[in-house]
Parts: sequence; structure tokens; C-alpha cells
Amino acid sequence: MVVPAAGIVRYVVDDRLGLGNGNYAAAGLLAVAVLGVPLVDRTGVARSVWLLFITALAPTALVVWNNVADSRWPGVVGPAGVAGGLAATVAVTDLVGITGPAPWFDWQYVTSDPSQTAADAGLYPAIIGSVFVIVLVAVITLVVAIGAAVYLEEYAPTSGVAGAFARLVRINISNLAGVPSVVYGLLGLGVFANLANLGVGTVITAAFTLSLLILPIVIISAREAIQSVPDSLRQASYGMGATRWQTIRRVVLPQALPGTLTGTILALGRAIGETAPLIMIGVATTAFSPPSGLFSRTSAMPMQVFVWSSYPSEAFQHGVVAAGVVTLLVVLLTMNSIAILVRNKFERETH
Amino acid sequence: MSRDTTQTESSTDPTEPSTDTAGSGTDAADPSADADQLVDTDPGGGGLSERERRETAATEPVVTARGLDVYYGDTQALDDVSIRIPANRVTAMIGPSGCGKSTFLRSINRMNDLVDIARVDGELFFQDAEIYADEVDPVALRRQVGMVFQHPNPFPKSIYDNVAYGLRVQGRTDDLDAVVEESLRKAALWEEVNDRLDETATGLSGGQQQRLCIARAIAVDPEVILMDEPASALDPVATSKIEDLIAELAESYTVVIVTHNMQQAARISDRTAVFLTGGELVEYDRTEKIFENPESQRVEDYITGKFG
Repeated sequence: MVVPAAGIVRYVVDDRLGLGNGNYAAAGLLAVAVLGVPLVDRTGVARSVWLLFITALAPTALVVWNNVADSRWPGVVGPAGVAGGLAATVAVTDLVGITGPAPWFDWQYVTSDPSQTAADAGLYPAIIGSVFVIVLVAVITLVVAIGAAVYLEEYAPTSGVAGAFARLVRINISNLAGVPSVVYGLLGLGVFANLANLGVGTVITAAFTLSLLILPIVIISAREAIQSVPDSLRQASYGMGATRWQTIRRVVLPQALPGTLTGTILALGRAIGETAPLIMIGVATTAFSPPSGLFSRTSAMPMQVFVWSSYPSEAFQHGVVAAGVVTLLVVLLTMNSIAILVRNKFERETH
Repeated sequence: MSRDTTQTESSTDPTEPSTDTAGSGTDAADPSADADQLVDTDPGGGGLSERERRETAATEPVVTARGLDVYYGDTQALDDVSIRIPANRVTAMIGPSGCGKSTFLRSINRMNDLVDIARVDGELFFQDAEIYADEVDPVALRRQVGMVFQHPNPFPKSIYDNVAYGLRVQGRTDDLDAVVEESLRKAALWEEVNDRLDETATGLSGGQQQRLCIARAIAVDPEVILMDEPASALDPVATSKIEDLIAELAESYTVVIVTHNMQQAARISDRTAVFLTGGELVEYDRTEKIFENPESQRVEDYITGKFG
């Protein structure tokens, strides 16, 4: 049971946080997580609680540490409030002697496959499916959106027929941001699942469809970020014999990246919770094994939660569904804190 | 200004301008250096007179304009400007706002290319290469013609990276440390920043930032340095440092400076060009002559403050 958990911790820390903090932090956290297990066993705390604690604590602690290091005290208030609240919860239940309801959101839930019985039900394949899809979405969106924004802001003509066309494209990107997600689902079904033959309900179809959904938002935020780079810096760069691409690569993009990442973080939050387009492209409501590759069929957390909510049993209605929602939120918040860490790193580098 | 008289006049062998992009120009003689051809802007008879050529046409012209017009859309910013800017001299451009000084400056390194609606007519040579010829790569040109802007605009990178930027984009990364140090020394900034080259350049004072921008411009070893009101955003102490620096730079570079400050032009420049409203170059001569005994009544009015 510990091994997959440690694997997840390692994945999260090594691949994501490792960007900003080096592999020492990753290895250290992994060691703490694994070595702490026997210790925790003796204290009577469940292993699952310990591992979740570590997984959630790591990004939070890093955020707090960054804030303290930069003397941004308001940034500490949030984590401090959470920690204080947790402590108060434990203290109050101990003092008053209330036993809380049996938690549904536990380790078994996170690591098991879905089941017809509420007690055995788990979200593991859907979590992996969602994370897989979202990571792909993030990569596709960032590459395409930055490319599109750079073209629109730096290369596109501003006068003549071509200029008018570029203006039309800009306006319509803003319009696309308001199109209902179910429409993107239909488009994804038509273009990616059928036309491009990427398969119905596969990881890659879902990733492309969700990318389309959030691209307008990310392009707009990337354009804003590029616009906010002072022209004087571009001129200084050109004045020293830099080509247009060198200027973009070395001056404009480093300045625009934090703003772009902010928009991407917000958009990914929307993408991970989307259900309608996934229904349209035929993503499975329930999958009993995580996707094995880009072209394998997958499920996603919101789909699984949605189908559970129609089960008649009260245990499903009040327990499993709620736990699914909590899982979704935890994954979302973890993802966002990682993205914010990456953004802060870039902000510090450029200022 | 005394050094003007010690120079001999360059030969003026009329050769056709070659189409080399970046001038090799040791024999950069003006193709047709007759004085009457150079003076067609000034109704008052100023400009490059026969006497002026004898006294101060001391070095080969680095930048030569003949009948240069620049338009922004329908607005004409420069009107038939003809000028020869000599090498290793400080040439000042003065005149009221909107008279085209900066436009002329930006024509020299083709920064106007970045403005979609800008259009250039007439002839403009850098050494013996025509700047607006089709085969001239503006990037290559700007590597020969550096620029310093009105407001200090260091990149939000370290001091070192700022100076090294131009060298890196040109792929000249051999001996980077030495060139960075030499450039900072030339810009009279080394003593102040040598212990904090890794700190961000935006933390420097305005005057230091502007000297950093000058160091950044000379790091790539251009032929000409264009300065667009480099001291107008600075206090008098910083201004005086920049002015001293300009005088030193003129020993190795050709400096063209736009300024609103006539005292500054009088202090630092060897030649002065006076632009007046409508993008017209009214008079271009030795600085002493412009300020003491201008040919044109309009120039005299402008300098003495009777006009705009």
C-alpha cells in the first residue's frame, strides 16, 4: 500500500516541484514519507492519513516558506488558518468527546477501483485518468497558446487586409471563450474522435477537446501578458542588433511568462472539472483500470462522481459522491499550488 | 572643437555607393560631395558652405543623407533633409518638439521599420552602403549603429547580463567577462558596480541605469552611437557624468545626439544641426558658428528663445 503512495509523492515532488527546488527536496520528501511510515504505525495514526498529510503539506510548506523568505506575511495567513483550524478540530473533538462520522475519503478510496458496494468503491482509475488528461492539456495549451499569442502580438500585420483579418481573429478568440463547453464536446467528437480517428473516449481525444475549450482563455491572458511588456525593452533589444525572434525569446517571453501561467492555472482549474464535453466525446463513466497510454480509454473524476450520484443507495449518495468531490478539489488545489510555485519562480527570476 | 582644425580634409573621390550591407567603408567618400548638392534645405543660405567644408569637414562622413523624406502615414516628419555626419565627432540635433530630430535618428538604424506606417524616401548612406537598400539587413545595420534611448531601459536582468546581451544575441561569447568589464569601464560605471554584477539592473539609480545602457550599446563595438535625449530624464549630476562620457566616447565612436537642451548641445557637440517645424533641417554647421553667428534668422530666433 505504501509503494504506490510513495510513487505518487515522488511523482508530484520530483516532476513538478523539482522544477523549482531541485532533486534534493524531492528525495528528502520521499525519504521522510517512507521512513515516517513505521514511526507513524506505532503512534496509531493511519498510514493513509500520514501520506496524505505529507502530500498536501509539501506544497503548502513550500508556499509558506517562500512567503516568509520574501516577507510577504499576508501570504502566510491562509496556510496558518488551515493549520489552526485543523488543530482546533482535533482539540475540540478530543475535549468534548464527539466522535466524527466515519470518513469516506480515505486511502482505500483513493487507491481502489470502482465497485458496486459503497464500502469498496474507489476512484483510483479516474484520478489517474484525470491527471493524465490534465497534464496533456497543460502542455498542449501552453505551447499552442503562447505560439498564437506571440504571433498575434508580435508578428501579425496591423494594417491592410491582413491586419483586418488579424483583428477579426483576435475578436473571435474572445468570442470563443464564451462558447458553452458542450459545443466543444461536439466539436471534439466530430474532429478528433471521428475525423482524426483518435478514438472515442481516449486520453488523447479528451486532452485535445479540453485544450480547445480553454485555449481562448489562455491565449487572451498570454496576449495581455505580452502586451504589458514595455516597448522600450523591445526597442533596446532591437537597437543592439537582436532579431525579432531573439527579442521575443530573450526579452518578451521571460517577462510575459508569469502572467501567462496565471491564466493557464485558472483555465486548467476549469478544465479538470468539466463534464459536458467528456460526455460528448464518450469518455467512460466508470473505468476499472487506469489508462495505459495516449490511445487507451479512460474515465475522469467528474464523470465517475456524476454516475455515482445517480446510485440509489444512501451510502453512495452521501458518502462516496462527497468523497469524490473532495478528491477532485484536493487534486485541483495541489495542481494549482504547484503551478503557482512554478510561476513564482519565474517572477523572481525576471524581477 | 579644437581637434576639427587639426584634421585634414578627406578626399572626395566620387564613387558610386557600393551595395555592401555593413560598410567596410575605409574609403567612404561621399559619392558627390559638392557643397551645393548638400545644401538644399536652407533658404537662408546656411548649411554646408564652402568655408564650412574647409574648416571642419575634417573626417570622412559616416552617415550621409540626401533629400531624405520620412512619412508616418500622411504626415511628413522629415522634409528633404541633407546632412553629412563626420566620424569620431559629436553631432547634436536640436529643435522644438515634433520637428523630426528623433525621426532622423531612428532612420539611421532603421528603427522606423518597427512602425508599420513609416515610409522613407530619398537617400541615406551609412559609410558607403545605402541604409534603405533592399538587401540591407536591419539587424546587421543595428549591430553597427547602436542606440541609447531617452528613458533608461535596462532589461530586468542582472547588470552583467544586460551588458552581455548584445554580444550573446550576436553569438560573440568569447571572452565575455573581459568585454563586459571593458564596456563598463568605458561607461564609467565599473567602479560603482563591479562588486554586484549579479544584482538586477533595475535596482540602479537612473543615472547609473543610463550609463549601463551606454555600456550595453558600446559592448557590441558599433561604429555609431545614436542617443535620443539621453540625459533628459536625469538630474544635473547624472547629466554631467553622461556628458563627460559622451566626450570620451567621441574618441572611438561617432556620436549623434538629440537634445532639447541647447546648453548641452553647445557644451558637448562639435557640429550642430537645427531642425525646425515641419521636419526641415534649417542649418547645420560647427557648433560655435550655430550658437554665435547662425546664418539663418530663424535659427537665431530659436536659439535666443524668441521662437519656440
